[in-house]
Amino acid sequence: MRQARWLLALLAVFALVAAACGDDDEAAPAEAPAEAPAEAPAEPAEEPMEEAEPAEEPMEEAEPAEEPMEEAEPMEEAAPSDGTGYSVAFVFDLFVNDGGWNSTHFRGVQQVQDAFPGLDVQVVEEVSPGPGATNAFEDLAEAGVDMVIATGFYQPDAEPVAAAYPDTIFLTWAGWTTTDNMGHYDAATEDGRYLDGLIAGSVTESGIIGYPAGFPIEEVNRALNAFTIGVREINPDAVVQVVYINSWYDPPVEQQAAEALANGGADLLAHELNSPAVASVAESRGLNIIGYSSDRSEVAPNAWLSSFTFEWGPYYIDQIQSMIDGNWEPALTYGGLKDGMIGNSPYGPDVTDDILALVDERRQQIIDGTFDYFAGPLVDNEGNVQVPEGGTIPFEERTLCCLWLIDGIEGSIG
Amino acid sequence: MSLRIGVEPRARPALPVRLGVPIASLAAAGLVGAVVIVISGANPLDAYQTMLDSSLKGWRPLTRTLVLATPLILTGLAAAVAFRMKVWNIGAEGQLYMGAIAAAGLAVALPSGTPKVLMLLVILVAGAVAGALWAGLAALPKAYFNTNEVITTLMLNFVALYFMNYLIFGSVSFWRDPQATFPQGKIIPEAALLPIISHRLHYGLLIALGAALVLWWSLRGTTWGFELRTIGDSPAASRYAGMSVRGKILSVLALSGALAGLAGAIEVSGVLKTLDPRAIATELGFTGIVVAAVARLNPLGVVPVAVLLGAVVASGTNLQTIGIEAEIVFLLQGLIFLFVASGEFFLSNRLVFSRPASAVGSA
Repeated sequence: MRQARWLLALLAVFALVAAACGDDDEAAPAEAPAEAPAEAPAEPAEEPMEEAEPAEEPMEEAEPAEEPMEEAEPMEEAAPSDGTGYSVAFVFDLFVNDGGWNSTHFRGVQQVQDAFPGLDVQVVEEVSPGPGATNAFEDLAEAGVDMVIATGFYQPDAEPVAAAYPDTIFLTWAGWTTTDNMGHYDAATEDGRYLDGLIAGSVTESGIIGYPAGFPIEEVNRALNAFTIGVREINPDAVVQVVYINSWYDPPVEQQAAEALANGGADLLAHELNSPAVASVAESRGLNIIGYSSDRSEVAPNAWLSSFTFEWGPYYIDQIQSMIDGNWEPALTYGGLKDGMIGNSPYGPDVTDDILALVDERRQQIIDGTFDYFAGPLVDNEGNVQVPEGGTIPFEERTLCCLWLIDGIEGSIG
Repeated sequence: MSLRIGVEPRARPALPVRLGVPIASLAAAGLVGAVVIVISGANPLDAYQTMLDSSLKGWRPLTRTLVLATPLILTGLAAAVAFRMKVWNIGAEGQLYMGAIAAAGLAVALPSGTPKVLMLLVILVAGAVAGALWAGLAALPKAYFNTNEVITTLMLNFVALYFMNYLIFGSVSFWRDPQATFPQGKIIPEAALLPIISHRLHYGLLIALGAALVLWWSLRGTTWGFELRTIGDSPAASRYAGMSVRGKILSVLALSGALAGLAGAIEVSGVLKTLDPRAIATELGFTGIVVAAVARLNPLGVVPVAVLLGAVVASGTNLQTIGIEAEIVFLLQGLIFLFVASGEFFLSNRLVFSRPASAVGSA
């Protein structure tokens, strides 16, 4: 969409320039203004789908559910309700098959459909934050949807609508102000990132790990810090080189960043970006790759190591179940390994049994609360003590962290 | 002896024709769109009914359409006024960001007890000034060294975008709310919010309409407008006639930037209540270029075109919930614009077929 409109605007300008310059000769512009608008909005249809996934049916109404809720979720006694008579709408900022962030949420949508075959599930894609999102929420609430689940940061856009439609429940990702009918949720990426870091530390030989990321914001830095803690636990001399590309999804730039890091000596790439670009660079250059929330082993069968995964499905199912049961309460949910909201992808061929044993042990310890990878002292890469000896970053306060990068990271948040 | 196809301007057609062509264009878009909708497995009549219901039918849908149209009117005017003088300001996008940044910053910086009228005046003027100054960065080299403003204004968009992202995502700046768990601007105080006409429709619409009227009148009825058009047609002749081309370049680009900056300030004050880069960077400036082009650079024409675009966008969600995929929704939106734009083009131009030989003979 973005590039498409640029193109459109430029075409319109060139058309006008041409029309202005060449008033009376044979002038090309005859077609230009007509061509331009056509291209722009048509393009998104084909552009963001390198993943070739379930594009065809982003879900009609209640699908007959081939797998009749075999793993019938935590709440067995409420089993009689298959969601009939209730409706839930999921709002996405891009397409559900982006192969990254939105795909992880869409997997949750599919789990919801399996769990509640009678539930009316709607999916609205390409909702930009701002007035368009507010309109979308209002349309859904006006249509009588019982629960609207916004899979991106939409709190400011949802707030006025939630206030005006008290009968509709709103859940937004990463919001922080609950109201009677609005709750928020997020997942502790860092839990999974720490485990990924252990694997990365055991595999890298050059001791240089490249990490292209989006924006230097708290949650990205937090995950990167946890990753680096994992890396250095295994390989104390290794460094993680971070490059922020100031976008969440920009395949050409992701690729350039990955190439540059590889040229700088990185033999392992990890990333917090949504396209498969970094994984394919790793594969083509014979490096290893740690993914971001998605299994990239198809793109990079040899390079693939691991990735944490987001598990939104259980949370969605739980929220919908409590809505159906009539005991839904607004909450700020921040879920990690112990809450089942962070999982892991299949592991690649270069992950040894030794390190897997440690990963499994640490995972269990984190779930049990007997191990804290954020235990102090934590020193940032400018030498400041951020968490003193004996301290930690408490789980409930993690979302406010981190505007610093831990020792072992080469790069700065600017 | 190949046939050459050219374009020449048509005499101004009668009013019924000028009104009829856009309607016929819409109908044609509807027919082609219907084929697409049928192929995608939905019912075209349902789809068009939904589009109308969600954008124009009734007061609330209409107000939503107008909210979306307001910034497009202003960025459409920004493009129209510059393009009238054949100064190609492609930088409305960045000028809009700078306007939003200035307005949000001042709204947070001024004491929250500031009277509403004063507060609004300050932040809207600041937005316009910021947009004008940002355009000025391209206008000065254009006026004094004749640099290509297409390149400079376009590139300054990136600078503005990264600057805005830096303020919210890349640093803990004055603009950023330290309490937010996802990076977000500080919420501006009540006094800095544009009053609401109805539902979410704010008085920014009237400012935009006022700007369209003033600009239309200025271009038609003032010496300034006459000079602007004359310079656009022939800078050299205008210079011989004693007009200050340099001064005009500066003033027109500044005005264009001010309109875009004002659009950014109004979005912050009337809609977003904060500096949210993700909601600001939605191609409002670029879309304004399209609006201006379809409106044939007529400031009054910009208004209905912006409203049409707002209406088309406003129906997106409901189209998806009746089962039309987002891709098809965009395709429909594109078709409508394609047909309206080409209808306008053929209204004011005609194709001429000529043989090169005869052209040579006449020369």
